[in-house]
Amino acid sequence: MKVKVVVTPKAAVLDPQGNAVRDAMRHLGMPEVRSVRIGKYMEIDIDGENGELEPRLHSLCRDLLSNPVIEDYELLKEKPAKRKRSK
Amino acid sequence: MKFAVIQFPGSNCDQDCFAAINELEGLRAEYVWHKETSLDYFDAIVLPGGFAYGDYLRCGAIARFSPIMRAVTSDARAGKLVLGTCNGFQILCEAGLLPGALVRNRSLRFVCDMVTTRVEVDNSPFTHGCQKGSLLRLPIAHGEGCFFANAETLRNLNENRQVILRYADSRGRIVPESNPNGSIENIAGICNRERNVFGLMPHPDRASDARLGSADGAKIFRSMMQTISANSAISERTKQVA
Repeated sequence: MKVKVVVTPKAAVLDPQGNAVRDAMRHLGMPEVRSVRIGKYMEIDIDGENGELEPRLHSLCRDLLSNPVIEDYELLKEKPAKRKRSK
Repeated sequence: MKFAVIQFPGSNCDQDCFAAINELEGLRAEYVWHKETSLDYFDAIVLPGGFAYGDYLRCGAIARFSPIMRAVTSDARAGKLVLGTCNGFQILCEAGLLPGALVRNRSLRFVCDMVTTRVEVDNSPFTHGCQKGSLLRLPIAHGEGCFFANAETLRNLNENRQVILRYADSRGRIVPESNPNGSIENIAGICNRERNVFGLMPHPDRASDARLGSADGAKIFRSMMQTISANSAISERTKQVA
Protein backbone atom coordinates (compact mmCIF):
# COMPACT_ATOMS: atom_id res chain seq x y z
CA MET A 1 0.00 0.00 0.00
CA LYS A 2 1.20 3.51 -0.73
CA VAL A 3 0.26 6.45 1.45
CA LYS A 4 1.08 10.11 1.19
CA VAL A 5 1.42 12.41 4.15
CA VAL A 6 1.13 16.17 3.75
CA VAL A 7 2.29 18.28 6.69
CA THR A 8 1.48 21.99 6.76
CA PRO A 9 2.20 24.74 9.30
CA LYS A 10 -0.81 25.74 11.40
CA ALA A 11 -2.42 29.05 10.50
CA ALA A 12 -1.17 30.74 13.68
CA VAL A 13 2.45 29.77 13.00
CA LEU A 14 4.54 32.26 11.10
CA ASP A 15 5.92 30.78 7.87
CA PRO A 16 8.80 33.04 6.77
CA GLN A 17 9.73 30.64 3.99
CA GLY A 18 6.23 30.84 2.57
CA ASN A 19 6.31 34.63 2.82
CA ALA A 20 9.63 34.79 0.94
CA VAL A 21 8.23 32.61 -1.84
CA ARG A 22 5.01 34.68 -1.93
CA ASP A 23 7.08 37.85 -2.39
CA ALA A 24 9.17 36.22 -5.13
CA MET A 25 6.02 35.17 -6.97
CA ARG A 26 4.67 38.70 -6.77
CA HIS A 27 7.97 40.04 -8.08
CA LEU A 28 7.87 37.61 -10.97
CA GLY A 29 4.68 39.04 -12.31
CA MET A 30 1.93 37.51 -10.22
CA PRO A 31 0.71 40.23 -7.82
CA GLU A 32 -2.48 38.22 -7.34
CA VAL A 33 -0.71 35.79 -4.99
CA ARG A 34 -2.19 36.29 -1.53
CA SER A 35 -0.23 33.77 0.51
CA VAL A 36 2.06 30.76 0.26
CA ARG A 37 2.40 28.15 2.99
CA ILE A 38 5.24 25.68 2.77
CA GLY A 39 4.93 22.23 4.27
CA LYS A 40 6.30 18.75 3.76
CA TYR A 41 5.23 15.90 1.56
CA MET A 42 6.10 12.28 2.23
CA GLU A 43 5.50 9.16 0.16
CA ILE A 44 5.41 6.00 2.21
CA ASP A 45 5.40 2.45 0.91
CA ILE A 46 3.98 -0.08 3.35
CA ASP A 47 3.59 -3.85 3.29
CA GLY A 48 -0.03 -4.82 3.63
CA GLU A 49 -3.41 -3.33 2.81
CA ASN A 50 -5.53 -3.97 5.83
CA GLY A 51 -7.34 -1.25 7.72
CA GLU A 52 -5.52 -2.15 10.90
CA LEU A 53 -2.54 -0.16 9.61
CA GLU A 54 -4.46 3.08 9.51
CA PRO A 55 -4.77 3.86 13.23
CA ARG A 56 -1.07 3.04 13.68
CA LEU A 57 -0.20 5.35 10.81
CA HIS A 58 -2.27 8.15 12.29
CA SER A 59 -0.55 7.77 15.62
CA LEU A 60 2.88 7.99 13.96
CA CYS A 61 1.71 11.03 11.99
CA ARG A 62 0.94 12.71 15.30
CA ASP A 63 4.05 11.53 17.20
CA LEU A 64 6.78 11.64 14.58
CA LEU A 65 5.84 12.90 11.13
CA SER A 66 4.23 16.10 12.39
CA ASN A 67 4.38 18.19 15.55
CA PRO A 68 0.77 18.97 16.52
CA VAL A 69 1.91 22.12 18.33
CA ILE A 70 2.86 23.78 15.03
CA GLU A 71 1.62 21.55 12.22
CA ASP A 72 -1.42 19.81 10.77
CA TYR A 73 -1.19 16.66 8.71
CA GLU A 74 -3.25 14.91 6.12
CA LEU A 75 -2.97 11.21 5.41
CA LEU A 76 -3.86 10.29 1.85
CA LYS A 77 -4.24 6.69 0.84
CA GLU A 78 -3.65 5.80 -2.75
CA LYS A 79 -6.75 4.20 -4.14
CA PRO A 80 -6.15 0.53 -4.94
CA ALA A 81 -6.17 -0.11 -8.69
CA LYS A 82 -9.64 -1.17 -9.81
CA ARG A 83 -9.78 -4.70 -11.10
CA LYS A 84 -11.05 -4.82 -14.62
CA ARG A 85 -14.09 -6.95 -14.96
CA SER A 86 -13.67 -9.63 -17.55
CA LYS A 87 -16.67 -9.95 -19.75
CA MET B 1 27.82 15.67 42.17
CA LYS B 2 27.42 14.01 38.78
CA PHE B 3 25.89 15.56 35.65
CA ALA B 4 25.05 13.41 32.63
CA VAL B 5 25.77 14.96 29.23
CA ILE B 6 23.73 13.03 26.68
CA GLN B 7 25.39 12.37 23.35
CA PHE B 8 23.09 11.94 20.38
CA PRO B 9 24.45 11.22 16.91
CA GLY B 10 24.95 14.78 15.71
CA SER B 11 25.40 16.47 19.08
CA ASN B 12 28.25 18.95 18.80
CA CYS B 13 28.16 20.90 22.07
CA ASP B 14 28.61 17.85 24.27
CA GLN B 15 32.27 18.76 24.79
CA ASP B 16 31.40 22.38 25.60
CA CYS B 17 28.92 21.21 28.24
CA PHE B 18 31.39 18.65 29.57
CA ALA B 19 34.13 21.29 29.93
CA ALA B 20 31.84 23.95 31.41
CA ILE B 21 30.51 21.56 34.05
CA ASN B 22 33.90 20.11 34.98
CA GLU B 23 35.24 23.64 35.36
CA LEU B 24 33.08 24.09 38.47
CA GLU B 25 34.35 22.72 41.73
CA GLY B 26 32.17 19.96 43.07
CA LEU B 27 30.68 19.06 39.70
CA ARG B 28 31.65 16.17 37.47
CA ALA B 29 30.30 15.59 33.99
CA GLU B 30 30.10 12.25 32.26
CA TYR B 31 29.04 11.45 28.74
CA VAL B 32 26.07 9.16 28.25
CA TRP B 33 25.48 7.68 24.80
CA HIS B 34 21.88 7.97 23.61
CA LYS B 35 21.51 4.18 23.41
CA GLU B 36 21.84 3.88 27.20
CA THR B 37 18.67 3.30 29.16
CA SER B 38 19.35 4.47 32.71
CA LEU B 39 20.39 7.73 34.35
CA ASP B 40 19.98 6.57 37.96
CA TYR B 41 23.65 7.26 38.65
CA PHE B 42 23.30 10.99 37.94
CA ASP B 43 22.09 14.01 39.92
CA ALA B 44 21.20 16.06 36.84
CA ILE B 45 20.85 15.66 33.09
CA VAL B 46 22.09 17.97 30.33
CA LEU B 47 20.92 17.73 26.70
CA PRO B 48 23.56 19.57 24.68
CA GLY B 49 23.32 21.54 21.46
CA GLY B 50 24.03 20.28 17.99
CA PHE B 51 22.09 18.69 15.19
CA ALA B 52 20.85 15.38 16.56
CA TYR B 53 20.00 13.05 13.69
CA GLY B 54 20.91 15.83 11.30
CA ASP B 55 17.78 17.74 12.35
CA TYR B 56 15.97 15.59 9.79
CA LEU B 57 12.19 16.01 9.65
CA ARG B 58 12.23 18.62 12.45
CA CYS B 59 14.87 19.57 15.02
CA GLY B 60 14.70 16.99 17.79
CA ALA B 61 11.91 15.01 16.12
CA ILE B 62 13.89 11.78 15.87
CA ALA B 63 16.16 12.31 18.88
CA ARG B 64 13.15 12.32 21.20
CA PHE B 65 12.70 8.61 20.42
CA SER B 66 16.28 7.67 21.32
CA PRO B 67 16.37 4.95 24.03
CA ILE B 68 17.83 7.33 26.64
CA MET B 69 14.79 9.62 26.35
CA ARG B 70 12.66 7.18 28.34
CA ALA B 71 15.05 7.61 31.25
CA VAL B 72 15.17 11.39 30.73
CA THR B 73 11.37 11.53 30.81
CA SER B 74 10.91 9.31 33.85
CA ASP B 75 13.69 11.06 35.79
CA ALA B 76 12.22 14.45 34.86
CA ARG B 77 8.80 13.35 36.08
CA ALA B 78 10.46 12.21 39.32
CA GLY B 79 11.87 15.71 39.82
CA LYS B 80 15.48 15.42 38.64
CA LEU B 81 16.92 18.62 37.13
CA VAL B 82 17.07 18.54 33.33
CA LEU B 83 18.74 21.27 31.28
CA GLY B 84 18.42 21.49 27.50
CA THR B 85 20.47 24.04 25.58
CA CYS B 86 19.82 24.88 21.93
CA ASN B 87 19.19 21.53 20.22
CA GLY B 88 18.58 20.11 23.71
CA PHE B 89 15.75 22.65 24.15
CA GLN B 90 14.28 21.57 20.82
CA ILE B 91 14.42 17.92 21.88
CA LEU B 92 12.70 18.68 25.21
CA CYS B 93 9.87 20.47 23.37
CA GLU B 94 9.48 17.63 20.87
CA ALA B 95 9.44 15.15 23.75
CA GLY B 96 6.61 17.10 25.39
CA LEU B 97 8.68 17.81 28.52
CA LEU B 98 8.39 21.52 27.73
CA PRO B 99 5.45 23.29 26.08
CA GLY B 100 5.62 25.06 22.71
CA ALA B 101 7.95 24.48 19.79
CA LEU B 102 10.96 26.01 18.04
CA VAL B 103 10.56 26.94 14.41
CA ARG B 104 12.65 28.55 11.68
CA ASN B 105 14.14 31.94 12.56
CA ARG B 106 11.98 34.74 11.25
CA SER B 107 14.94 36.06 9.22
CA LEU B 108 15.42 32.60 7.63
CA ARG B 109 19.10 33.01 8.54
CA PHE B 110 21.27 30.98 10.83
CA VAL B 111 22.15 33.39 13.66
CA CYS B 112 25.50 33.18 15.42
CA ASP B 113 25.88 36.03 17.88
CA MET B 114 26.35 37.16 21.45
CA VAL B 115 23.03 38.20 22.98
CA THR B 116 21.78 39.70 26.20
CA THR B 117 19.08 37.90 28.12
CA ARG B 118 17.12 39.15 31.11
CA VAL B 119 16.43 36.90 34.08
CA GLU B 120 12.65 36.92 34.59
CA VAL B 121 12.49 34.39 37.40
CA ASP B 122 15.11 34.37 40.13
CA ASN B 123 13.76 31.55 42.29
CA SER B 124 14.00 28.71 39.78
CA PRO B 125 16.41 25.84 40.41
CA PHE B 126 18.43 27.12 37.44
CA THR B 127 18.59 30.86 38.14
CA HIS B 128 18.38 31.43 41.87
CA GLY B 129 22.00 32.55 41.74
CA CYS B 130 20.87 35.49 39.62
CA GLN B 131 18.85 38.53 40.58
CA LYS B 132 15.53 39.18 38.90
CA GLY B 133 16.08 41.61 36.06
CA SER B 134 19.80 40.93 35.91
CA LEU B 135 21.34 40.41 32.49
CA LEU B 136 23.19 37.36 31.22
CA ARG B 137 25.43 37.66 28.18
CA LEU B 138 25.20 34.38 26.31
CA PRO B 139 26.06 33.22 22.80
CA ILE B 140 23.48 31.84 20.39
CA ALA B 141 23.98 29.76 17.23
CA HIS B 142 20.85 28.40 15.62
CA GLY B 143 18.65 28.39 12.54
CA GLU B 144 15.48 27.18 14.26
CA GLY B 145 15.27 29.08 17.51
CA CYS B 146 12.04 31.02 17.08
CA PHE B 147 9.94 30.01 20.06
CA PHE B 148 6.26 29.49 19.29
CA ALA B 149 3.36 28.69 21.59
CA ASN B 150 -0.35 29.12 21.03
CA ALA B 151 -2.26 31.79 22.94
CA GLU B 152 -3.39 29.49 25.73
CA THR B 153 0.07 27.97 26.28
CA LEU B 154 1.59 31.43 26.29
CA ARG B 155 -0.90 32.62 28.89
CA ASN B 156 -0.09 29.63 31.10
CA LEU B 157 3.64 30.21 30.71
CA ASN B 158 3.27 33.81 31.86
CA GLU B 159 0.79 33.11 34.64
CA ASN B 160 2.90 30.32 36.11
CA ARG B 161 6.09 32.34 35.69
CA GLN B 162 7.68 29.70 33.51
CA VAL B 163 9.47 32.18 31.25
CA ILE B 164 12.95 32.24 32.76
CA LEU B 165 14.87 34.28 30.18
CA ARG B 166 13.92 36.87 27.56
CA TYR B 167 16.11 38.49 24.91
CA ALA B 168 16.80 42.07 26.02
CA ASP B 169 18.89 45.03 24.95
CA SER B 170 21.95 46.14 26.90
CA ARG B 171 19.74 48.18 29.24
CA GLY B 172 17.49 45.24 29.98
CA ARG B 173 14.54 46.38 27.87
CA ILE B 174 12.52 43.75 26.06
CA VAL B 175 12.34 45.28 22.60
CA PRO B 176 11.88 43.85 19.09
CA GLU B 177 15.41 44.93 18.13
CA SER B 178 16.88 42.62 20.74
CA ASN B 179 14.95 39.61 19.46
CA PRO B 180 17.41 37.61 17.32
CA ASN B 181 15.02 35.04 15.87
CA GLY B 182 11.41 36.20 16.11
CA SER B 183 10.58 34.30 19.30
CA ILE B 184 7.16 35.14 20.66
CA GLU B 185 7.45 37.76 23.44
CA ASN B 186 11.27 37.58 23.17
CA ILE B 187 11.27 34.23 24.97
CA ALA B 188 14.76 32.75 25.20
CA GLY B 189 14.19 30.05 27.81
CA ILE B 190 11.32 28.39 29.68
CA CYS B 191 10.82 25.80 32.37
CA ASN B 192 8.05 23.28 32.94
CA ARG B 193 5.29 23.87 35.47
CA GLU B 194 7.15 21.78 38.08
CA ARG B 195 10.23 23.96 37.44
CA ASN B 196 12.75 21.12 37.19
CA VAL B 197 13.10 21.07 33.38
CA PHE B 198 14.65 24.12 31.74
CA GLY B 199 15.28 24.72 28.05
CA LEU B 200 16.97 27.71 26.43
CA MET B 201 18.28 28.53 22.98
CA PRO B 202 21.41 30.39 24.20
CA HIS B 203 24.50 28.43 25.19
CA PRO B 204 25.48 28.72 28.86
CA ASP B 205 28.03 26.00 28.06
CA ARG B 206 29.86 28.39 25.72
CA ALA B 207 29.87 31.20 28.29
CA SER B 208 31.41 29.63 31.35
CA ASP B 209 34.81 31.27 31.22
CA ALA B 210 35.61 35.00 31.07
CA ARG B 211 38.27 34.21 28.48
CA LEU B 212 35.46 33.21 26.12
CA GLY B 213 33.80 36.60 26.47
CA SER B 214 31.36 35.80 29.26
CA ALA B 215 31.17 33.62 32.32
CA ASP B 216 27.45 34.23 32.87
CA GLY B 217 26.53 30.72 31.75
CA ALA B 218 28.31 29.25 34.76
CA LYS B 219 25.66 30.88 36.95
CA ILE B 220 23.11 28.45 35.58
CA PHE B 221 25.23 25.36 36.28
CA ARG B 222 26.12 26.74 39.72
CA SER B 223 22.45 27.36 40.55
CA MET B 224 21.67 23.77 39.58
CA MET B 225 24.45 22.52 41.86
CA GLN B 226 23.17 24.59 44.80
CA THR B 227 19.61 23.38 44.23
CA ILE B 228 20.70 19.75 44.24
CA SER B 229 22.78 20.06 47.39
CA ALA B 230 19.98 21.94 49.17
CA ASN B 231 17.47 19.27 48.15
CA SER B 232 19.69 16.42 49.28
CA ALA B 233 20.28 18.17 52.63
CA ILE B 234 16.52 18.37 53.10
CA SER B 235 15.98 14.72 52.22
CA GLU B 236 18.82 13.71 54.59
CA ARG B 237 17.13 15.61 57.39
CA THR B 238 13.72 14.07 56.73
CA LYS B 239 15.38 10.65 56.72
CA GLN B 240 16.92 11.35 60.12
CA VAL B 241 13.59 12.53 61.51
CA ALA B 242 11.90 9.39 60.22
